[in-house]
Parts: sequence; structure tokens; C-alpha cells
Amino acid sequence: MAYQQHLLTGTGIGLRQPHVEHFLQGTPAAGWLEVHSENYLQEKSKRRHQLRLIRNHYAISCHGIGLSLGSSDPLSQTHIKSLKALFNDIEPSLISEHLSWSSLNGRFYNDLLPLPYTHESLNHMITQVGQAQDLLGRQILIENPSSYLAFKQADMSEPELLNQLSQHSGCKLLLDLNNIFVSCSNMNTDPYDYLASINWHQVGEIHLAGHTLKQLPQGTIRIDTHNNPVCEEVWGMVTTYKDMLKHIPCLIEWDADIPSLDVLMAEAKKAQHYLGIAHD
Amino acid sequence: MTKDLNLAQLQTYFANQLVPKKPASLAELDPLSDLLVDSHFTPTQVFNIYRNNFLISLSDMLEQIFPITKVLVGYDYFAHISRDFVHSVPLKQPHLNDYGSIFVSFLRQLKALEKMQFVGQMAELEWHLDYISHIYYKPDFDFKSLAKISEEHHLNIQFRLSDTCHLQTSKLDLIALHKDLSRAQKLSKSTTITAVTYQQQSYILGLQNHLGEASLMPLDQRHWTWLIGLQNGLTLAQLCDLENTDLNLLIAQIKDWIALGCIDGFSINSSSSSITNANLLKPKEYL
Repeated sequence: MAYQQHLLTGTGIGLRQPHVEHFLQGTPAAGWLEVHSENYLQEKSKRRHQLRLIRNHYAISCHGIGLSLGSSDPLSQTHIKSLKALFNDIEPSLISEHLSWSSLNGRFYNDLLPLPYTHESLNHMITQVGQAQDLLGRQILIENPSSYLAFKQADMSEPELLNQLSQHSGCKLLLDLNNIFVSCSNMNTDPYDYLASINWHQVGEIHLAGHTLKQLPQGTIRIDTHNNPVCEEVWGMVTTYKDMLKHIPCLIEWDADIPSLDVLMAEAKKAQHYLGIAHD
Repeated sequence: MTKDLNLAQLQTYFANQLVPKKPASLAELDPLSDLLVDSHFTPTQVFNIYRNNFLISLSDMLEQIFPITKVLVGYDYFAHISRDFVHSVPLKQPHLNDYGSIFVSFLRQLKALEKMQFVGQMAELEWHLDYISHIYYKPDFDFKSLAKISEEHHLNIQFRLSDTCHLQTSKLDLIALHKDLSRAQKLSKSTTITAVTYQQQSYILGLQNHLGEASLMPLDQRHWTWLIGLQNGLTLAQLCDLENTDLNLLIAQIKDWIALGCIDGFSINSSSSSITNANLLKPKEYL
């Protein structure tokens, strides 16, 4: 099936199951939509069929959580094959994955697990991302994860690793500002230093989301739950960097305790406001 | 523990901490304290976030697929067996499409449920209902080609059951049990189930209805036998050889099943002969 090619412009939202019917019945004013690739792998599923229909009206970005690029396991050829079939079917405008690992010795943990930021990890990621791009025949964007811990053996910072990864593998970066804020708060570092270290020429997509505060005896830890509105501190980061960000496709992610589509769209409009982009 | 582990060693250590050999030994784990940069949170506190993410994401998925099984065994026991399952049965794919079916097998093997086989049967039913509800099905039975088949080949027709169709049998009235527990769950009402109340041989057809939802239909034994025969590839001639089968009634029933979306295609098997193999009358998964 030949789709009309759409570009990712303006603010998109994560397409989640409770809102699918709205997009099948009409064309809510979202700039573009992002889906989790692993939810659409079954060719004969309703979800895949619905995505094909929605794809006729919206540009789609496919965001993966299962490639486990940072794992010392080899890439799963079965998964690559399923993803390739999905991408050939849907023709997404972008595909993305994470700077993390989620499987080992063939066991998947259904979570984005942290990498030590070492030259070994960098070289491993360069190889894995390169292989995945070759096999999929597409450029991948790599997202910075939320972190709750850091490894002593690290010999570079996360932005440094991401910059080098994009330079040497040919991938682009997906910068999640909420993840930056969550990680920096938990590690007691400055998110603005992080943003200042990023090679912005390599950034191809922005994620904005909410998180949860958990009280522990020593203080508050921030957990990346995607179940709340974007927090004020992250909007502050958006405002400071709006001249950089307004030219980059930006997405509102909301994955748990999913609100009505109106709430999600209002959050997307808020992003446009902070970015200084005219509303539709 | 040295901090100079290579990537594979570090990931192995991390994974071992994530999934303890025995859930009870969680407290004894050393959550990488020698490997982590000091922070105001303890290694155990931060590591528990990863443990919880892993456990909760998979347990939540099981709760969504098996709501009635959860009511049947009790919320606390379901949470306990879900945790055991997630820890002891590795997820082997980067998606959750088949993990629920493995949970059904896991339940069936639990010693504690040995005398409550209906729990495994209910879980099997829920798994198939979930599966059926996710399939995209558009009725497009090829009536034109069926009409073109010459009369001499009519008895060699093999009708094909749709993927949106599930057959199951039980010594309990599983449909009634499912209905009663669904109602209790919707009303958030606690309910006491006495298995003996539901003791009745049942033959069940699960299928996707015209709204695209999974639904349950009770079958009588004759219809059950025909559908199992169809599932196992019997031709009309072979179905006619079955006890109490009238060809006209069978054809009328097949038309109804086509209308229901239970049969979605056919083929001609010229080499078939009358059946005598009793195995062909058993549900496929038990062959």
C-alpha cells in the first residue's frame, strides 16, 4: 500500500488505545502520532489494521522498546524482521529506540535498564545501532533514558556518549527533556549542563512527559512514570531552549493513567505555546 | 566485587539481582553497592525501582488478560502466583503477545491448584478470549467459488475454522461461571464460588462477534463434535460418517457458522476417505 508521505511537524502525541477510536472517527488536530512499535507487530491484529487507517491522515513515528541495543546479546533477528515488516507496512516518518538494554541471554525484562557510560558501551552501541540501521534500512533515533543510578566505572557523561554515538553510527538523537530532568534530579546534577553539552544538530525529536515523585527517608526520588502532566521545571527547560526546540518535532507522551484526549491535546497546545509555535 | 566488570559481566550481575532465584531471598541480595556511584539514596532503594518496573509491568499485563481467573483464585493469591510466574518463567520475546498463554500452562502445573482444574480451564478461556478480541477479522467468505464447485466434489469440501474461533470443553459450566464472576467483578462485589453449583458438562464456542468483541456461546454435543471435526480438517463426507449426522442439518449449521464468522474458508480434499480415526474428534491441542 502506498501512503501519502507526511512530515513530522509541530507537536505530536503518543497514540494510546483509549484514544484510537477518536482518530478512526475523525481527525483530531494532532500534528503527528507516535506508537510503541512492539504493540503493532502482529500483522493480522486489529491494532495494526487501525494504525493503517490512521496512517492515511497522520505522520507516524514508531518508538521501540524491545531492540535492547545495549545488551551484550546479539540483536534478535526475529524482532528485527518483525519491525522491518511493520515499518514497510506503515512507512513511519521516524523510528526510534533507547540508550539502554532490556534483555540478556535471551530473557527480556520489559524495562529499559541502565548502561555504564564507558567506551566499551559506546563502541558496543555504535556496532549494534549500525547493524540495526543496516538491517532495517532506516536511520534510528536513540533516546536518553531516565536513570536512578550511575555506575562508578563510567568514563564519560551521558550527553558525551550520545554525541559520539550519533557521530559514529549515523543515528540521530531523541532527546527526552523529562528524562533529563528526572535523571539529573536523581543524580544531583544540572539538567542545563546536560542540555548545553548536547550536539543539537543531531537531535531529530523531542519527548515531553510527566513523572512521579516518591518520598524516601533521604528525600524525594523522581520516577519516570509518564502518568502526569509535564512539570514546571521541564517547561522551564523548554522555554530556555525554545529557539533550538521549535524546529524539532516534539511529542507529548502519556502512558499510564491516560487522560481524555482533550487533556492530552491541551498539553500539546501548551507545548506549542512554550515553543512559540502558532496553534493550528 | 570489583568495579572493573566488562559490559557482559555487569549485565549478568545486574540481571541476577533483578530476578532472584527465590523471591524470598530478595532481602539477601547485594544490589551492586560496589558498582554504583554514591548518592543520597541507598543502592537497594534505587535498585528496587528496576525490580518493581520489571515485576509490575508483567503482573499488570496478566491482571488485564485474566480478570476472572483473578477473582476465582482471590486477588492475593493471584498476585502471589503472578510474581512467582514473572520471576520463574523468562519472557523470551521483546513483546507480550504470547506470555499469557505460558501463564495458562504455569497455572495448570501448580500443585496448589491440582484439585481445581477449572482454574486452568478458566485461564485458558480468558487467554483465548483476549487473543480473539485482538484479531482483525473482516468477513469475506468466498461464496462465489463455493457455488462453482461441482456436485461430485461437494462431499470433499473441507471448511476452515476462523482464527477468531476457539473451542473448549469442561466438566463445569464455564460460561455461567464466567458470567457470574464478571458481574461480581463489575459490581466490585465479593462472591463465594461453589464449584458444585456449576457442575455440568459444557461445550464452548468463543468467537469474535459482529462488534469485534470476544463472546461465548454454549454448544450442544453434536455441534461441538462437528466443529472439532472441522477444526481437524474433516471433509463433509467424513463429518457425515459421524454418529447422528444428517447432511442437511449439517449444511444448515455450516451456513449459520459462516454467517457468524466462525468459518472463513474452504478447500477441496479429493483424496479423503471416510474417517475411522477417533483422534480426529479431539480438540487439536490435545492431539
